[in-house]
Amino acid sequence: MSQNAQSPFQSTIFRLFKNPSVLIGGTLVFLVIALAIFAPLLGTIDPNQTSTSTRLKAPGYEGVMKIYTDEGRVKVPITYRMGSDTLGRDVYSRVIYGSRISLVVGISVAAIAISIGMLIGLIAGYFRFLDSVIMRVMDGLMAIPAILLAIAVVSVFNAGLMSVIIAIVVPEVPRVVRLVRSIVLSIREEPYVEAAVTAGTRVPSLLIRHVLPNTIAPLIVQGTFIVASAIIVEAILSFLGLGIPADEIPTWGNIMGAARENFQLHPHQILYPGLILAVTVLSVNMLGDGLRDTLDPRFSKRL
Amino acid sequence: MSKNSEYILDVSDLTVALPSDGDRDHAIENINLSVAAGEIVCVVGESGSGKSVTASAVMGLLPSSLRPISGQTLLEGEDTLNCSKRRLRDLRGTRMAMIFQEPMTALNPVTKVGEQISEMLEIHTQLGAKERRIRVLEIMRLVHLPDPEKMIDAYPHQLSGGQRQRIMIAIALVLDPVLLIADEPTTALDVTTQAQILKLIKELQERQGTGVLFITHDFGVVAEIADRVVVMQTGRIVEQGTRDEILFNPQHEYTKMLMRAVPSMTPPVREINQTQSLLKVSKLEKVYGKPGLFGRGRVVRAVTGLDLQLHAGETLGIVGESGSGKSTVARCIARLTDPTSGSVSLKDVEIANLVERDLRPFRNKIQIVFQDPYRSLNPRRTISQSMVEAPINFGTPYYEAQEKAKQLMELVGLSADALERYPHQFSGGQRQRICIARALMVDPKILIADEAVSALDVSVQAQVLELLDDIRKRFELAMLFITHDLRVAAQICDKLIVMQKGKVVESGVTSEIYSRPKHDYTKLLLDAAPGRNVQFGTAE
Repeated sequence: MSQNAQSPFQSTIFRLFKNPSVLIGGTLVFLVIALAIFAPLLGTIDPNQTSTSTRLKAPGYEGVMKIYTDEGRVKVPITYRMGSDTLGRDVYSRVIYGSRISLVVGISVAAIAISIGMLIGLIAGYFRFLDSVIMRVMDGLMAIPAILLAIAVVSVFNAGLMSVIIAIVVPEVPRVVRLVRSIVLSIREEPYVEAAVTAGTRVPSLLIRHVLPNTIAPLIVQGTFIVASAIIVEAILSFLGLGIPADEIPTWGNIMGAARENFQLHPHQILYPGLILAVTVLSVNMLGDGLRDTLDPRFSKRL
Repeated sequence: MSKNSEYILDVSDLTVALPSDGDRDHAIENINLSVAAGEIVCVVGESGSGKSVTASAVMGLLPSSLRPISGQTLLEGEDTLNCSKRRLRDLRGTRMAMIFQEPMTALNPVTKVGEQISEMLEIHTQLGAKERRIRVLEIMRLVHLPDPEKMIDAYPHQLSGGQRQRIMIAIALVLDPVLLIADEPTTALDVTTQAQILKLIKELQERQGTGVLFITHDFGVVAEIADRVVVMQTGRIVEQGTRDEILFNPQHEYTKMLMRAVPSMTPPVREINQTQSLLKVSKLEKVYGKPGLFGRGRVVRAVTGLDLQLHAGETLGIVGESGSGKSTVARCIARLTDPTSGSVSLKDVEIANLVERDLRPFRNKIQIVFQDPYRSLNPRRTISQSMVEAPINFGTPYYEAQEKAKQLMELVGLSADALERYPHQFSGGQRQRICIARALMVDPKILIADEAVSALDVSVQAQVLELLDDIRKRFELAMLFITHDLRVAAQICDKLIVMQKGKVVESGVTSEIYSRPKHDYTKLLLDAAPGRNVQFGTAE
């Protein structure tokens, strides 16, 4: 018996900080989050501010924006760090502000998909008579390609943030359900769950106390992968012009989408948002890999 | 015994370091032991004594975190600790071979068993395909596998546990190694199968003159096959000598303690006073598997037509081999599975068909202690949280439940401040005590112990058995004791039910069954118990 009463939770936190992928991935993700939060302080201007005199400028171009306000025309000096687009908007500001949408979509898709998937998975795994019905519906959903399903959902609702989130959540849910169900199926056979049954514990508390905690670690891991894939799917939808309209809110996808026609002459408009998209997805995936190595007992067993 | 012949294995001063975060510095320390040709040396000890590490060191199979820091392991004069990897690979199989505890996982499930034996010949000899097949059939005959011509093309899952272990032995011995290392080769097997495998190992060793290093925790097995015995405790050898010296004249305190802890095959005289009947089970039947969605599913009759009665203050044992349905009986009575038909009446309430909601008020009457102490407690909850769960479900105020938990912890021999710890901070034996205490929290009338001591070391097993017997007397409990171990059953059970393939073949008072078994299967079981004729721990 060791004397320090360290809970399994505390020792896991300790191990997490020793994992290099968690550290590097986590730091990068943290930086992207900081970028999104502090966007107005990072030398940006209004990302939707157009300027007809300074269209399609190369990165590093220093010039003057002519802005029309209520008091008349104002001249504002500006440096286009990442160049400007066809409407003279500052690509740098658009990319920085675009991280907000990517993160909001990524994180809310993960949160919603996991909440719904966990509930359905618990029910499917514990109540055997509902299992086959639920799982056949999930199999059906999984048979439709995620992008096609998302395009279908977006075209039913109006294009906008909410419809994009719903469109990405729907195909992600079956994956979460499968994961949770498989964990519930194995945990419900554990003697400590059976001991709780003989202790007269009611089903809701049984699930919350003894079964649910076992799904947390795998779901955190799965969650990071959902964040990454949601960011990509959002970018794809916006790139195709099916997502969030470019004149309302800039997202990495619609910045690239708008720059399509000018790609050969002005590749920077696709390069910069593409680069930050790649780095963000890579770092989220890295964080996920690291979390899986630390949290998944099958990987932590190796010496 | 060939004491004067040259040793084929000579281990001297072997010390293996543990990683720095281990609970002790060395996995094994200053190990000196030797095996002569044609000799069976048993290494016996409890879990964590370092017996498997010793075997792995000889085979060059130590995990990279364990480093041998001194000593040598001479196999026919060649030090296996300092061999090149290539030389070690040559030695394995040709000069030394190993068989493991779990014959299912040690065999490749997707390769035919014949090919797995043949692989050894392919790697180490120049034999052609035809000659290899002849040699494989020959060795399969030698390990007494029925119908080798057919079995050579079988996959592991088509064989029984005993047959798989025979295949393992065939693989190990096909190249006539001088040394066979057997790491608990019979622990996962049923007692009748174990007896056959032990006989086989002894027979082969005598015929081929192989030296055998046999690792076991079971003194019955030691009594059956050992020529010499090495006793290990926490990484050190405490005593070694011939079988008779160790069994009948042990010198070291630890050896004596181990021998005393081995339950005797002779049941003590127990007085049986007829008390009120608590539980009556009649015509219990459990069929697993329903007709499938498509066509007819496979159906397994786990239990058929079982009757039993349980009285307050008595211990009823159910013994049988794996697959006999003994655990299913326990699970049906505890209503962890629903019986297919039959009646389970608790006093006068029929509980066999109650739905969960109506059953819940009776859940506190029957409590169960499981086999695996490592999985019986939720690792994320403190002992206190696990203990008070049941009484709170039955309406006891939290504070009262806490007080009761403290008292029961002391009753099972643990301090009350252990309540705030997590399960991983306790040893297997301590956890099993906690599970027993948890079961007592709701004042049950019936305690089911489903192989509750099977996963424990023999010395811990003795203590937990004593504790179970003690609380049975103290609380006038009716105890249903499920076990495969006839020694344990002899010591703790007043009455006994012997099960085979889901049916009761014999039942009665324990001492009568042991002295005058009526059914052939009971006789077979009793005969197969290793070391049944040796009275352990009597020589003081």
